[in-house]
Amino acid sequence: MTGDWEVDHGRSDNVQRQLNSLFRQLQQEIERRNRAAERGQTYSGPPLSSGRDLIALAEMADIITAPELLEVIQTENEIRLKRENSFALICVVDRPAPIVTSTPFGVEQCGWDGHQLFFDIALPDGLQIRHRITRSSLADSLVMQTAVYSPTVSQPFTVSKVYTRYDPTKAGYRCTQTLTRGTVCTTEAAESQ
Amino acid sequence: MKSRAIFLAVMFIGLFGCGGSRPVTSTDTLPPGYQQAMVERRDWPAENAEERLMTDRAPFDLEIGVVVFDDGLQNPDSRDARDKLRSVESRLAAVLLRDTLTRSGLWGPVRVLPSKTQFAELTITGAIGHSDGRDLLVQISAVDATGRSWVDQTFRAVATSEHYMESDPMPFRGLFVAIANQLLRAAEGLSRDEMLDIKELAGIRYAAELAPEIYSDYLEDVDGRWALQRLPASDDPMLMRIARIRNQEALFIDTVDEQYVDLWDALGPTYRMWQRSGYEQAQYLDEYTARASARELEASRGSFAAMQQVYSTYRSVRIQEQDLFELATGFDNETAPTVLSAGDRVVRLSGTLDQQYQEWRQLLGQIFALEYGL
Repeated sequence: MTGDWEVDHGRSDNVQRQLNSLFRQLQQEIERRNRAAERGQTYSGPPLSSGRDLIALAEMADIITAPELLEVIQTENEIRLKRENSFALICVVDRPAPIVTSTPFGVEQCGWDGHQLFFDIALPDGLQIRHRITRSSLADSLVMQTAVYSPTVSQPFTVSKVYTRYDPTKAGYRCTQTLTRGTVCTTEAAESQ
Repeated sequence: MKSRAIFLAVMFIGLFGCGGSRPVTSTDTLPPGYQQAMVERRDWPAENAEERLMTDRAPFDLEIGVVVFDDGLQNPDSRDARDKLRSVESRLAAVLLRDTLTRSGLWGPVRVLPSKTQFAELTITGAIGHSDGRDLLVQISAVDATGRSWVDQTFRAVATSEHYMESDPMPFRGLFVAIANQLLRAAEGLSRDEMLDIKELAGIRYAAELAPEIYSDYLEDVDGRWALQRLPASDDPMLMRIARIRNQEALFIDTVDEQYVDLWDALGPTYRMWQRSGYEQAQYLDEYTARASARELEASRGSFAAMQQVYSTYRSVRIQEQDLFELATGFDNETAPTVLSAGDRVVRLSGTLDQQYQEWRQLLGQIFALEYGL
C-alpha cells in the first residue's frame, strides 16, 4: 500500500447523496408506521431517528472523511496512513489483531480482518468510527469505507472513499502538516528532502 | 496491567464484538479508560512542589550522577506513541533535574548518566509515575556511595493555567526545586566525616568495579551499607591509573551530555506544547466527568456540537502524540556516534547513549586489564 493516494471523487460517495438516501428511507419508515397505525396494528421496529440527529451524524461523517490525501507507509511491522489535516491511522501488524490503543479520550483497535485493514475507534458519548481499508490491485486503488455511529441514530452513516495513486511532486509543491508550524509547503522534490 | 487488558477486551467485545452489525451503544458516558485513572489518582500524594530553590547555603563538593529516569517500559522497542513520549520524558526529566541542581550552585559536577553505574558519589534515580501536563508524579531515590539513602520519596507538582501563560512555561519547575531542596536538607544532616567517607568509598567502589580481584577486599558490605576495611596507600600506582580512567569516563559522560542538550533543544518546544495540550485535556476530562455525573450530557448526546467536541479532542490528542513521537523517533535515529580518545587509540562509539556508555566502560575495563595483566 505504500505510496501517495488521492481521492477519486468520481468513484467516491457523496455525503449529501447519502443523506438524501437516508432521509428517503426515514420517510418510507414513517409512512409504514403511519399506515400500520391507521390499520390499528402495532409496529415493532427500532425507534425512529430524528432528522436533526441524522443531519448531525452526516456532518460528522463529512468531517471524519474529509482528508483527500493519504500517505501510506507499510513495513513488515506497521502500517501508517497519514491523512491530510488529521491524525494518522497507525497499526502494528506483527502481532495478532486486534491491537488496542487506549487513551482517556478514546480507544482504538486495529488489525487485519482477512484482506481488510480495520480501525475501530470508540469515543465518549457513544460516538464510534469504523474504518475498513481494502486494496484493489486491479485498478490500483484503495477503498476506505467509514461508518460513523451515533447513540441517537439507529444505523451508521457510511461513506466510501476511493483513493488512487498520485505523484505529489507533480503538483510542483508538497505540503506537510506540522504541529509547531502548521502546514509547511515546499517546492523541493521529494528526492532532495 | 492485566485487569486493564481485561477491561479493554470486555469493552471491545461490547462495542465491536458482533462483526458487521451495529456496535452496541455504551450507556456509560465516561470516556473509556478514565475509571482506571481515577483509581490510581487516589494513591497520589499531596502536592509537595516548592517555589524557591535554596542557594544561600554552604556548598558541598560532591559529584552527583542523575541517571536517565526509568521509563517503566516492558518493551523498549515499543512503537506506541505514548511509550515513546514516556521514554523521551524520562530523559528530559533527568536533564531538568540536573539543570536545577547545577543552578543551585551548591554541588560539584552534576552529570546525566545514560544508565546506573558506580560512578558518582551520589546517584539519583527516578521514575515518572504520571504525567499529563497538569499533574506530574516522580518517584526519586538518591543513594550515596556508602549505600545511605538520602531521599526516597514521591514528588508531585500540579500545573495551573497561570504556569502556561508564562512566556517560557516550565509548569513543573517546582517539582525539581523540591527534589533539589530535599537533597540539600539531607546533605546538611551529614557530618564532615560522613561526607569524606562518601568520597573515599566512591573511589574504592569504582576501583573495585574495575579491578574486583584487588579492591573488593577493601570493602565490607554491612546490611546494605558499604564500609572501608582499609585504604590503599595514597601513592598506589594502580589507584592513580584508576583515577585517570575515571576521568576518561567523566569525559565520555560530558561528551554525550551535549546530546541531551540537543534533545532538549529539539524536543523542548514541542514537548511544552504537548504539556499545555495535556493540561487542557485533563481539565476537559474533569469538566466532562462533572457534566456526566450531573446528567447534562444526556441532553446533548448525538448533537453535532457534542460529537464534534468529542472527535476534535481525540483528533487533537492523537496529532500531538504522533507529532512528538515522530520527533522523538527522529532523535533516537540521529543519536550521534561519539568519538573519543582512550590512551593512544581513537574510539568511535555508536548506538544509543546507553549502549555507547556500556561499550565505553567495557573498553576502559579492557585497557586497564591489559595494562596490569589482570
